[in-house]
Amino acid sequence: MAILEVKDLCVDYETKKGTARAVNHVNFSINKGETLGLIGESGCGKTTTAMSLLGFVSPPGRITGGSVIFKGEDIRNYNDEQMRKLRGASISIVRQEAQNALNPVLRVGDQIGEVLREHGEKNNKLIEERIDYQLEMVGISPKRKKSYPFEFSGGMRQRVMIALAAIAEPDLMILDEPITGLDVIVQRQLINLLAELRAKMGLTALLISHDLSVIAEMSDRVAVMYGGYIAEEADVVSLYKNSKHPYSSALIESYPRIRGEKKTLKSIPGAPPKLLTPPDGCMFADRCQKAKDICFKQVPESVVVDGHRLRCHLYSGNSKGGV
Amino acid sequence: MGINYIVKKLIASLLTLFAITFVNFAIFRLAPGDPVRMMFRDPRISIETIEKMRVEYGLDKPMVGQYFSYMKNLCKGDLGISFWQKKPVEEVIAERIPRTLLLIGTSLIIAVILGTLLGAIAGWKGGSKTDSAIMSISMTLYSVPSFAFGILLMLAFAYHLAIFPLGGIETPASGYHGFRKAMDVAHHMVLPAFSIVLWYIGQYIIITRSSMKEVLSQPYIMTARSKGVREKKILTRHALRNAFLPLITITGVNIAFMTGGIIEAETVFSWPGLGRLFYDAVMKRDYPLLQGCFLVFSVAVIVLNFVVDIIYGKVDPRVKIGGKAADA
Amino acid sequence: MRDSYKLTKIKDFFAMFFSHRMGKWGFIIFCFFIFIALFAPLLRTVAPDASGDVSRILQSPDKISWLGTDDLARDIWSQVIYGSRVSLTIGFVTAFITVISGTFVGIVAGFKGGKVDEILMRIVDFFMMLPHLPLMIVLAAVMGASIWNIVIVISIVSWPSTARLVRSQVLSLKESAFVEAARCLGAGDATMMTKEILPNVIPVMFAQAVLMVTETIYSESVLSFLGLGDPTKISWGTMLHFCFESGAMSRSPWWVFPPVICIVALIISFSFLGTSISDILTPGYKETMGY
Repeated sequence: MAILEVKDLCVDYETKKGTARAVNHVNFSINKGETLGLIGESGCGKTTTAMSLLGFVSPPGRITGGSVIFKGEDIRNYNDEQMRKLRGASISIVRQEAQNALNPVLRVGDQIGEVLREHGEKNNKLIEERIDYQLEMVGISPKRKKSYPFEFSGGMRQRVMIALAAIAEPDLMILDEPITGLDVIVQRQLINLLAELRAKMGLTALLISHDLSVIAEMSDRVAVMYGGYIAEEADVVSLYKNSKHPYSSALIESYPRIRGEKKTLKSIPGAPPKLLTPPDGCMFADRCQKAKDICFKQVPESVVVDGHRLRCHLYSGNSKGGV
Repeated sequence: MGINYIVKKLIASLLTLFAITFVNFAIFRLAPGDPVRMMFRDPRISIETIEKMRVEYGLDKPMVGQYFSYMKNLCKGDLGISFWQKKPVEEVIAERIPRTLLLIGTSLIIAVILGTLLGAIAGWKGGSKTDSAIMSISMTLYSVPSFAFGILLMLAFAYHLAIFPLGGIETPASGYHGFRKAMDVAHHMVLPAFSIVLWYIGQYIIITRSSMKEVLSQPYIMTARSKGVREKKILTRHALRNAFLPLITITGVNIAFMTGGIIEAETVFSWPGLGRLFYDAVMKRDYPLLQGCFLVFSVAVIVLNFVVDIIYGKVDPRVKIGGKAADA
Repeated sequence: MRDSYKLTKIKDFFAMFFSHRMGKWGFIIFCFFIFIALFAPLLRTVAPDASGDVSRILQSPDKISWLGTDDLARDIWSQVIYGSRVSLTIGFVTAFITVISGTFVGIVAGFKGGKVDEILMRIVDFFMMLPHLPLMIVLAAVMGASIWNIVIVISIVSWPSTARLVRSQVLSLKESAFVEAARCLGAGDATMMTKEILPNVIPVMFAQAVLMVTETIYSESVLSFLGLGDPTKISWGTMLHFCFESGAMSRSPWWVFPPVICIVALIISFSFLGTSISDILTPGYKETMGY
């Protein structure tokens, strides 16, 4: 059963120089217990997509179309109070480690417990027990719940953020670059921790990263985002072994492999598209080595080929049912 | 809060205090022209009197010696003789201090409470009509010198409407006692206090608003929102406390700047406090008195800064616990 | 390529500036005063310090004296017109001196770091601790009243805040990649400070200069009001001082309002300019306004 279904989502940013479409007719769904990886270069619309799931798109940005169906209800119709009740309790988020992601003047434990309090839990003893349990689960001694964030290292603060996101046992957890900006060793520890949570809690997650290896290790399915739309979406193994969209292939080839044959890394020539002045055709056409005439003229429709859902003119001929 | 923190702040304050006594000495001795001639501009004073004064003030001695005798007198609490009042400077000043404290204390309390409240509202409603209205008003208030407020208030409420007295601290020779006297003083205080409040309040609104906006842009506010915390709670629990922290520091820094308002308001309304005394000392060219007043103002600023630092240490957990982030 | 980039940046700046409501109004009022100051000799009716007819003492506004006369029968209109010159001159000269000296100290302290930084910052902190107006009053009283002394006095009190601001800016610049790159290329301290650091603190200097003009005009008016202004150059503050001391304040509102309105309007115009500039220079403003 799909916990989350995003249909034709569009987010526009109004600027004085025109409208930029940051999220362009995006479709995806996440089933219970599944992790969907969302990968792409910075500025491709990953974070904007995540933010619109929580209702955090604020002017000059605006959701201009589509629907976000969470557990059967379109949350775009929710009012502010309904959205608030959803956040933290049903959908939670862990973002990139930042200096002040935790309030510097409040004790860490109180900040974790606040999630339960704000969603109606009044039993203090129960809240304290839950805090202890959560801290223990993320590998921090419960004794340290009386500490302030500045007494923790960056990696520990990120563990606290995970505890905070998990305490209300949400139906969906958004992990937005959860390990970016940390030491390599800390990154490894956090990946292990998240893998453990997946196994223990049956975590349903949307994992956003620009790092192929993180996505490969932690996701069931992967969606590759480019210039505001999803270029290709497929099962994780199939995508890595058998990518169809030229952008996905280029992205994979630009990444070093530890095992297997040594290959020269290929960079992708050119620059990401300017969203203010999008090309008439495919977003990737300018940089694509297989581009045909039609790629510059017409926006590719979504097609499904061998279980890969993709937007590419190379495959539009042998479409087996698009959206 | 560690004892180390207090000791460190105390030593810094004492060093500043020492440096200030030096500045106070230097300004009046190193200025161009003969200090004694400068001190006694009255042409009727004979050469002999001047020479006598010179010896009396130790001005015939070399500079270093002068400094030591100045410091010695200072330690004894001797600030010299006021020529205008013909009394020891310390006596003249001591009499004025409570009156200034009364005026500044009242104004500051009103300005801080109203200013931070309005500033917090403006920052919270950032970009809205309420915000720009509060901001435009406070920028205007901040731009009007306190003496200009004073003059305008005086023209309107003392001369034309005649509902408040023109100046002074009490009705002369009224013979009021007790409560009647207190009410009389309060009545006299309304206009000068109001002119100070108007000036201070603009600053507090501007500072609180920018501090609030800064806090609201911090990641932890976003974290709180994504936890599903109610907006009201985000304001009271997450934003306000953090917004007040820099406010405390800035208040400390601003104390040196705010001494201006008191001089202006007291001058306009002839409030017989330290500010008016400063003005009178300038007008009468009473240098020992001027020197004494400057010293008192400087010391007050240092003491208040020290108090502010201590308060900050009590409120901010980062200072309270000892400051070192433990990397574990 | 780089020049055209700079040009669009400047163009963007002005576009943002004039669409900022405060910036626009600040600029209009500012231009108005500049106009008055420049054409003062043409706009005046009589010489501002010329004592008039004794029978015309404290004359209310009429056909000869548009804004009335003071207690020496001098023309208020002409005094107000010439007062703008004093305020603007002192404002600009002092702002220039304080920003240049403050920037110098700030760059040296921030860039050199270590002992130099510590000593310079101790001095800065000390100056910031001194009560501003009392210090200015004492210095002005000791040094004697003249325009230049007022400039010096206000500069002494004002430079530290610029130094502090520039230093913090330099500290963050020092960590940036292009400075590190220049250092790797073997640039010396002097080159680094003038070629790499200085151009990048110019926006801050600019914003600070506007702020300093505001504060200077303010301080000058207060000092003059307290009787420490240059007696030979009539400024708005001096006008109010004479008015206040003459005891004629209640009877001659025409003597009070013009200087008060001018002081307030000029200071407000600069605060508006300053606010709009610092808004524009705030990172993120450009994006939220959609440029």
